[in-house]
Amino acid sequence: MIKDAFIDKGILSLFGMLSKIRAQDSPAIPRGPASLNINPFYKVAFTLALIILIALSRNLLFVFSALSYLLLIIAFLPSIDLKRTLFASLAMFFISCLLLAPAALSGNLYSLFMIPSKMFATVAAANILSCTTKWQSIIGALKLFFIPDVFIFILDTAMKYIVMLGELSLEMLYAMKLRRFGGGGGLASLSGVAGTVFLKSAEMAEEMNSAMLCRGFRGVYHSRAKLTMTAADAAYIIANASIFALFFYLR
Amino acid sequence: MHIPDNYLSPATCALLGAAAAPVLAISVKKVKEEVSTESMPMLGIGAAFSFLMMMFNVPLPGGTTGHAVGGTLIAIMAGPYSACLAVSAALAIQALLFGDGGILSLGANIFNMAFVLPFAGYFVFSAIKKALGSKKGEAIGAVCGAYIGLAAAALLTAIEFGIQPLIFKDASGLPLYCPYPLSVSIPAMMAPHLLAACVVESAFTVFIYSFVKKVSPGSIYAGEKKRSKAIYALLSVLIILVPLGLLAEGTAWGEWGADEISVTAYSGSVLGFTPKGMLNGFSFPSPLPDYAPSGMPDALGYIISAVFGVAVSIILFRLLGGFLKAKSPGSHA
Repeated sequence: MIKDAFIDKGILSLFGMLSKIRAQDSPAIPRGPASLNINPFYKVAFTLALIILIALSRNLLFVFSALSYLLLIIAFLPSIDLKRTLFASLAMFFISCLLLAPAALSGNLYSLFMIPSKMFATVAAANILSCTTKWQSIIGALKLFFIPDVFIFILDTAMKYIVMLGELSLEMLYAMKLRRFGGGGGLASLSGVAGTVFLKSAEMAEEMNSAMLCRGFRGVYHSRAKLTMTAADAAYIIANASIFALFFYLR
Repeated sequence: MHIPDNYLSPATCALLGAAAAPVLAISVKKVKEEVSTESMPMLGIGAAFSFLMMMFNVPLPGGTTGHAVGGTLIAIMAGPYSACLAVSAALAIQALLFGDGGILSLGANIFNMAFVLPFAGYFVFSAIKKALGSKKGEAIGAVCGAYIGLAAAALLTAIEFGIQPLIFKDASGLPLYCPYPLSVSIPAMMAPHLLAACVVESAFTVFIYSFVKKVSPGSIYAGEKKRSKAIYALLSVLIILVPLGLLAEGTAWGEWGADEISVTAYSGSVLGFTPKGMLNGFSFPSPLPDYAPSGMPDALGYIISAVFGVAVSIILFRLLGGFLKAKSPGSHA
């Protein structure tokens, strides 16, 4: 029915988001040989650095080298991640090709090779990080970048509450869909859902605060992360370091 | 053996392309029936091997270079139809990204190297294996199959080059495309290939076949132990050794650029003119010409190109495997 279309769309998008977060947090991650117990700190740091270097580079060869490295990792990802990463990157690649088509037609072939390749590489790098590392570990790794504990605490709880509040709104949308006849609904009802979610979140925050106080929380949140080094870490660092060296060599 | 653009007339390219298309269609169908979706990534590794082997240029007598293809190897390990697809994929990557082999002549290159080569090689291999019995026959069959497969492909390439000046001439009688007649092209292609390139192909085939058979028999025979790690290790070693292909100076016979051909000396005399079809021909700006983009040492460019080619081949066949799995009846994916 057309009248339900609005609610249905809301349900589908919420469901999609929740299932993505769930998949991200499933014990199956890290999976695949590409993520052989590499410390998330190294992954976050080097992915960030690689993206910055790709963005800075004006050398097609460096971008091509980074692209080859990333493609090699993609080739060994589990099927589902391979498809997700590749299609996300290819989509950005073709969109930027389309945007640059006018420039290419008037003779600027350089940008047509350069910018879409950079798009592909950066999107691929970010996607590889996200599908080989749990969000929890990424947030935890931030500690080693001297990010204040409070900030990590906020990110950490935000992640958990996005799931809980998402489930809450999903349930409300289901309830609305089941109980509705004929008119009403649409945008107005959705704002009702949003309002209820807001009230509920304030309530939940209070509850969590009380729960933490009961368990001896004294207002200071400590997060711990250890910098270890395994053989896999070393191999990862060497691979990345050689790409960085290439950047400076090719300048 | 990669025929560049404008060496063959567009008509020849169209004809060979039309001949290659049904071969590819039948191969896709056969592979879908015969190869399980789980072993589809293995085909990607086959394509990666073929891509790498084509980067190992060997110097040939007469100042030109040549290379192995690996088509017979894949045909022995995974069947000729799989080999056809794997080598076609490697050729397409080379033509589109690295400018090795033309775009218009891709059909011709597929016909020579991805169809005639693996099928001829596989036919010889299975005939010898049948005649001599299993163990000894396999080794001799692999050597002879690889040798004859590559030789057949080289002969076909030479004939395609050689008929151009007979058929396509301009008003003044000068050839429009490849200027060398059959009497030049066949000996020029065959002598070095028979003496060197085919020997290298045989050596590669026997070496890799016996290596895989020894460490990971499951990759060849169903139900045996499979160790993909050893195969990946072999791939990595080949990638690192790829710059050896640069030791061979010179350009392969029949792969000169339009600026090179008029000054290239062959059998004592230079050609002295550039055929018209080459001057005003189709040219495709490949992003990374000749695997060794300017601005970085050739060896490094070569290794990075090899990594790129290997990654793309593996991704391509893994996606194809997933696609076939989704379409095959009885699957719940």
